[in-house]
Amino acid sequence: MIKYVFAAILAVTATFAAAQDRVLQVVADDWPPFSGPNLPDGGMSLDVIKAVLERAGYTVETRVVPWARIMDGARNGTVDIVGSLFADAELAKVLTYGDPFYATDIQLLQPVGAGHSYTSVEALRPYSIAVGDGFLYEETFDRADYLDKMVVTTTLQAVQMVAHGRADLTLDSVDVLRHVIEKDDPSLNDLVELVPGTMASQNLHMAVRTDLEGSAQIVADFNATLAEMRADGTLKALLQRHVSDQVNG
Amino acid sequence: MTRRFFTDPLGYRLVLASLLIGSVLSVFSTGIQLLTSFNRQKEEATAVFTQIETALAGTLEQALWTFDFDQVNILLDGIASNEDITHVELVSQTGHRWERGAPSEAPVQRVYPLSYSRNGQVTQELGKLRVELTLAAVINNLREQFWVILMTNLIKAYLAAVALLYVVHRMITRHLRTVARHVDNTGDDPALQPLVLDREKRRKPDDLDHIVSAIRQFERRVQNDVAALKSEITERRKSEAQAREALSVRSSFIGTMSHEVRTPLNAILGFLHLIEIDEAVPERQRHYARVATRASQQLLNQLNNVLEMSRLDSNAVSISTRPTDIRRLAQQWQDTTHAAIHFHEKDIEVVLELEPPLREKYELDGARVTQIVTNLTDNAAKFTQSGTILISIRETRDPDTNEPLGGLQISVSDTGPGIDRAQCTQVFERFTQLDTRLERTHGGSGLGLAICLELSHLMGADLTVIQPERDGFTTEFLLVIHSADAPEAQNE
Repeated sequence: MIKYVFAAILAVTATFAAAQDRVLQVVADDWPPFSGPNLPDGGMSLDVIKAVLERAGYTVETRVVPWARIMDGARNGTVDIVGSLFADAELAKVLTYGDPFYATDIQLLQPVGAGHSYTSVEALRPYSIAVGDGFLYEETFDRADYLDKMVVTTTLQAVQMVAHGRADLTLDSVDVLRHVIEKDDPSLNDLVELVPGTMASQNLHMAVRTDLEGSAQIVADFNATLAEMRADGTLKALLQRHVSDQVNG
Repeated sequence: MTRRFFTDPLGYRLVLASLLIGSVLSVFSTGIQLLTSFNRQKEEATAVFTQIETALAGTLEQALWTFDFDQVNILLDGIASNEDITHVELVSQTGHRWERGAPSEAPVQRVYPLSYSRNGQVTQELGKLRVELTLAAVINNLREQFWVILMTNLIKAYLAAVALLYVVHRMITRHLRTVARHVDNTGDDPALQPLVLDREKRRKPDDLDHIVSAIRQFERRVQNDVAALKSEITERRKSEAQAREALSVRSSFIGTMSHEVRTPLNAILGFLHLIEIDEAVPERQRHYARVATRASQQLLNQLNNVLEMSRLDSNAVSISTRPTDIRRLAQQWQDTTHAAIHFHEKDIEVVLELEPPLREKYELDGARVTQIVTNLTDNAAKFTQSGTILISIRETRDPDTNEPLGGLQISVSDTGPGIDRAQCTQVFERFTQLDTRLERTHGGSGLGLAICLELSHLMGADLTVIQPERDGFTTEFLLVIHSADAPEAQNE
């Protein structure tokens, strides 16, 4: 019995040691304020993930790369952990999600005085809506092909289109919307406003490449450490560095 | 041939003209080529406008519409990367502005109005894209091309001129030389060397063939004409010899007649005169002798007239002018007229009128003029029974300006029976007598006035019958000698 216990301890220790020796490659796409090359510590997601994993004993290296490269890296093994993710069934086939570390509301944005209010996705049918190329907002909305969606590359573009009347609405995480307006073009504040009513509240996750050796352990360690940090207030402090207005973690 | 080819003045002129025309055309052609090249290069350069419009404008509109400024920047950088484009400026309706490069002077520019279209309809103006293009590269390229094109064209023109000279010499000039040589060498006998050009015979004759054909025809005509002329010369020489022989016979006849008839007639007149003056001869016989003398005298006059007319016909009479004292001659005419009147035993006044100004001498054949005037005064004395015979002499003058014309005008007027106006020209015809009764009374052969007319023509004068201007006169013969100016030295 003692021999088995010892063996188990040895295996855990060896695994842990192996984990400690490895540098985990954590990447996220450019999605301010959650992640971005010019954001403090790579943005909220990378900052939280790195802090959690390092507290769990991992060595972490963070980078901001295009979304397409993230997907490609996840497949060929050059990417270990992806940050700034909403829950998605497709991604879950190749990634193992950790517990959410932040929740953000998805809201519509309209020109000032437009007077819209969100009731349902179906009710958006008459409007042109600027959406990010490949962005995931809310499952019903994402599937609603009947809507007049105008695809743009960045959230800033979508906001500008709404501000200049080229689109009736756009939507995104309120944190993203506020960050874009505040950081990129404050003059837009006078032109757009949030539509009353939340379409959805999305959790922000990190996910470990499933085929990564020890991925389950990493996820487990992350979840455990995240719970510790949420409990001791460390997480909240971290989040406040990035989204001071709306800290809901 | 080569030397002749290059020393031919016609060839030189041809080359010079060809070079001149070629040079002008070369410059003109160069200008056309440069203009064409400029337009082509400009079109190529400005094709970028079309490329922008077709390839980029739509993308740019989409990027501008979606505020995809990264894409906008990429597109503008792509446009500005063209080395001919100096300035790109994009101003959007939303107040955004992009610029690449700097504005240049007098650029070729294109402004693209950008708009967003949805379902085929323009929904919103997005802004304006201004692209400025420099043609400096095109102009530099043209500068480099200019001398090459010009020199190429000039060389082509000069080579063409030389080639043209050779071709013209080969095809035309040398044949013209052959033609000229042929004409020079043919001389009087064009049949000796028929004109043949050193060239292939063509199915369709050209101008040179026509020239050769014309020269051959001309030579044949000349040959025929020369033969005809030779024949005519022979005939004329024969006729001339015959004429000379006839003239000789005639002269011989006239001489014979003159001698053979006059000599016995003069002897008759002499003996008759002796009978008339011999007081021993009875009056009756002396009267017969006077009648016979008068008849013999008429016979002698008629004979003289016939001989004179014969001499005129055979051109044996010549006019010999010399400075002549007209006053002395006129006095002689008056005296002769007095003698004629005395001969006819009439009481007629003879008036000599010399109308000034008259020079002392005029260039005349005094003997022939006297012959004419004496004939006229004889007629006047013959046909006038009483009254006056007027001999008037004056210079010819311009009727308008009264300026002397250098001639002399002699008229003989009388108060005789006169001549009907309708018969004025008949009096000068041979053997014509207007009044046979008078002629029978006074005698005459009808040759006197004809001889006068012939003589006046010989001396270039006119003899006419005119209506007398003076009262009382019925007949006036006017002799106008058109040129009677004597040299001044001889007049003095």
